[in-house]
Amino acid sequence: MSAIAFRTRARRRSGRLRPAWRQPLAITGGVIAVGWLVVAIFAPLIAPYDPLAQTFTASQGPTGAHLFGTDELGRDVLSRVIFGSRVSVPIALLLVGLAAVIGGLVGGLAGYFRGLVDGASMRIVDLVFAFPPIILAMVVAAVLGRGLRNAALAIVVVAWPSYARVVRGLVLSVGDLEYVQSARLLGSSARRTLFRDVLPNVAGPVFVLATLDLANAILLLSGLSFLGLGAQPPHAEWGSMVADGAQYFQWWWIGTFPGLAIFTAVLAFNFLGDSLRDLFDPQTAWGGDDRQ
Amino acid sequence: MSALLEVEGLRVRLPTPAGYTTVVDGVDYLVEPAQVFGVAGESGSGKTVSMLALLGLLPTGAVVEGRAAFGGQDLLRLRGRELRAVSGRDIGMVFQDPMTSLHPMLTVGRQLTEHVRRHLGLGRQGATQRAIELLEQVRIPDPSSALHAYPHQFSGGMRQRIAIAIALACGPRLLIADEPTTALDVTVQAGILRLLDRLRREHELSVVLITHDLAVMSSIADSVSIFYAGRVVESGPRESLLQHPRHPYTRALLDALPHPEAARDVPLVAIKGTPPTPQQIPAGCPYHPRCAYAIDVCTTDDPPLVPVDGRRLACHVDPFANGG
Amino acid sequence: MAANDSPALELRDVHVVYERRGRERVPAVAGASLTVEQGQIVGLVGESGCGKSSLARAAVGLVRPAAGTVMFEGREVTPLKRGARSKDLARLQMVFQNPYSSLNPRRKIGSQLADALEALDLVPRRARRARVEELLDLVGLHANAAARYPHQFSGGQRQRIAVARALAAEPSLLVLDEPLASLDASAQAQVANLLVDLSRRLSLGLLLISHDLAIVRHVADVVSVMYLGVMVETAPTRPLWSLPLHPYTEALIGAVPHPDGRGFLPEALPGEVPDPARPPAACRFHPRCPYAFDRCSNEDPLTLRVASDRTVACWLQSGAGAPGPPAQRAAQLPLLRTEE
Repeated sequence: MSAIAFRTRARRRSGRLRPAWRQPLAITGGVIAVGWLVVAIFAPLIAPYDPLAQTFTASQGPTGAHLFGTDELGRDVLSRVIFGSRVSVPIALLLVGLAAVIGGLVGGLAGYFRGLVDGASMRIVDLVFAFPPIILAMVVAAVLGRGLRNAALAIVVVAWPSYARVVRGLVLSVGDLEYVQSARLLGSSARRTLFRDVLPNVAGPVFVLATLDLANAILLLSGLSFLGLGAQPPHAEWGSMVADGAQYFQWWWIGTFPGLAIFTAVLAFNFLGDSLRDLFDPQTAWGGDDRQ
Repeated sequence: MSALLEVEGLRVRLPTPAGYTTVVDGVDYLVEPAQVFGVAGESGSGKTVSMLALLGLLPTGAVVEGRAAFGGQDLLRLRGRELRAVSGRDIGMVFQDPMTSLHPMLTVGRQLTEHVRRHLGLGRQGATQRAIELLEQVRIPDPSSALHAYPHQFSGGMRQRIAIAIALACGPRLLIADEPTTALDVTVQAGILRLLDRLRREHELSVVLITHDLAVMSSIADSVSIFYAGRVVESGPRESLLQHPRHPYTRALLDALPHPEAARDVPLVAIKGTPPTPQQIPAGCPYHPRCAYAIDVCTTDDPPLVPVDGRRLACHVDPFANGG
Repeated sequence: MAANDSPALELRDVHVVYERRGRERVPAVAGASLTVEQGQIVGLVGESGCGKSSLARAAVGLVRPAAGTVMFEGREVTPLKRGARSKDLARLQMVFQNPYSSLNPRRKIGSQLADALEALDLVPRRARRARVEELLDLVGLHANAAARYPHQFSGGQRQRIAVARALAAEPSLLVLDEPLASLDASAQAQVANLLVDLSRRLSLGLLLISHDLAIVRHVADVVSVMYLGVMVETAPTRPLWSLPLHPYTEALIGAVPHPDGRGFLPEALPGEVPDPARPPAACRFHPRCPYAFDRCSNEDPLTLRVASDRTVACWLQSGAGAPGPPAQRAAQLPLLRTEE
């Protein structure tokens, strides 16, 4: 046992870990994500022009008046990118939240009660997993009809099974942990144990999955819009703007700036997701242990 | 007879984000040929690190001072290929956990022969022959079939025997065993201890046995060194040290063990407090906060390890000097 | 309330089976019986694969026995299911081996200690905090531990917290699965002392499962020895040590090293513990037993009551003549056989 204790001690001896929120990646990700949120909230105040306003200075490269240039209809690209954040970021948050709740519930019940509930829900999950996400989203969106709301629904349909799987797995494994068994032996009901002991230890990984999923959601939404199934013209949405840009390749600014916006947002959420996990562990959150 | 391994002034500092901490603080010892040298101490005492330092197995950035004379060379001054040549061939090491110390994806035969071929330059036939010999020496039944088996097909005790066989593959003069029996059942442990004893006698092998278990130490060691907070506090021949311990820590360790003859219902004597972490080593004698015999000088001066009555002792007080 | 003379815990001919991957059924416990009287300390010893942990889990109801009965205070122990555990069983609690996984790392100590108080409604809400402090004091920890998290404590301290949590349910019997195995020598002594002290003070029965014979010898009133799923011998501690009747018990005791400095190597037991899924025929120990004779490989030994407080499952101890050391009985074999 001493050798094991030595290894553990060696880790502790290597001093206090920096608190999770001081990691450079987390800061970068956080700053960018918050930045986009701020942009989304204050869009009307920040954007120099009305995103839908067409002008006669069509297809102009970046200039002093139009920092990101104008698109083929003379609309200011910068303003459209800014207003596009109002679609991508908050909707992605909402969708992921919804998917996490639905998936988490299904998975939690499946893992806790097992048996028929587990079998049935996991077969449905398998069904959804059988399809590549973008294809499935396309099918659902096409069936429901064009438009942003239907695209959003399609994304939720595609996203919830991952949470169900993850939560179910966690509930199954945590349920075998001794502190859960202890609580049950002491008389806690299954429900109480589920909420007090099982789910909080499940929340961490779910959060990480959710932040990474945010990136996916933004991509999916942009993808659907790119294909014409999501936001409809003339609405400013990053994906459809990239689609436009693909059409007018010679005017590179039309597609590149919205593309960069997607890129930075996705990257930011990925960084955040990686660091959030540490925040959820009481040991590493406060910078190592402080035993007497 | 000259000593097989002579360690002088070994000091190891390991890097941490908060700066370097001293994990081994001035350790000297001598290992004679064909001797079982016991290193005892609790977790955090530095006993394992002091051995890893000899083999160059410390994490990068570790700072090692001192001298370790082995076969005419100073192990602490050797690097890379030279060190591997010595450590691979003349020193063998066995770790605690037989589950993780053997490669799970290679057959036993492959793990044995690979070692032998690298260091002794034997051809395939010769290496296989040697591998079978080694397995016989450690009493693995049906060695020729065992060569083709994987570690997970063996029990914990068998795996430990295989680990010992690998460590002995090149005929080393020194075997370092770090808690080799701690994870094993008591009857299996007895088998391994007997094996080590026999190998020592048959092959003139010296064994450095690191363990926290004084009963194991008592069964097989010829001399014992007690480590505490990165230094040696007492060392000497096994019999006199365990029967007449003079350092208060050694005494306390022995008292904490259940005694066969003790009346039941008499509580075990627990040592108050816990061993200090390397960052929190008290000034003066590192044991003084837990010591029942500490006096003023113990809080300020670190007692040196001095020879006394056939053993070495680091204590200002020496409360049991007269067989107390 | 239990009748005054009924044992606190009684396991009769319990079988526990679990499924390995590949659907193989492994009989971890194959007919074991054990009794813990009120306030008694019983040590259950055995090596890997003997089934003692499975037996412990069956004893508290974490696992349903495939056969046999488990009675606590005269009532059958119903295994844990979906609903809350029966309140009758609250007085039967368990402490696990690993102090690092038996406490929820995300909850404060005080909150975890209060689990039983809430679930069993033992103490009104305003008095709970005081009771938590009492429990911490009972195990030798400071009251301010309640506001801390598990990772802030050492292994020994965490184990004491686990004991305190079990005590919150006011148990009359505590099953402890290798409570000292993960601890340092100092911590082992402290926790062992604590357990004996609590047992005496609170008339708390203990079923202490351990592979450390020295500690069990020091602490237990009665010792039961298990091998490959069956109970081979049960006796009060002193007589068991001075006169082991089962060859396995004898081997086990002989394998324990002593810290007396005399340099005696402990006795090894040849062979290996067989796979519990494929135990040897008849007496499970016979392939490794130095005294085995023909009956041992043909008939499963009965559990013989050789004294009012001793049982042993070995053919050597049957037949004429008082029970005696295995070597002696083996020498008398020709006589034994003619007698039957």
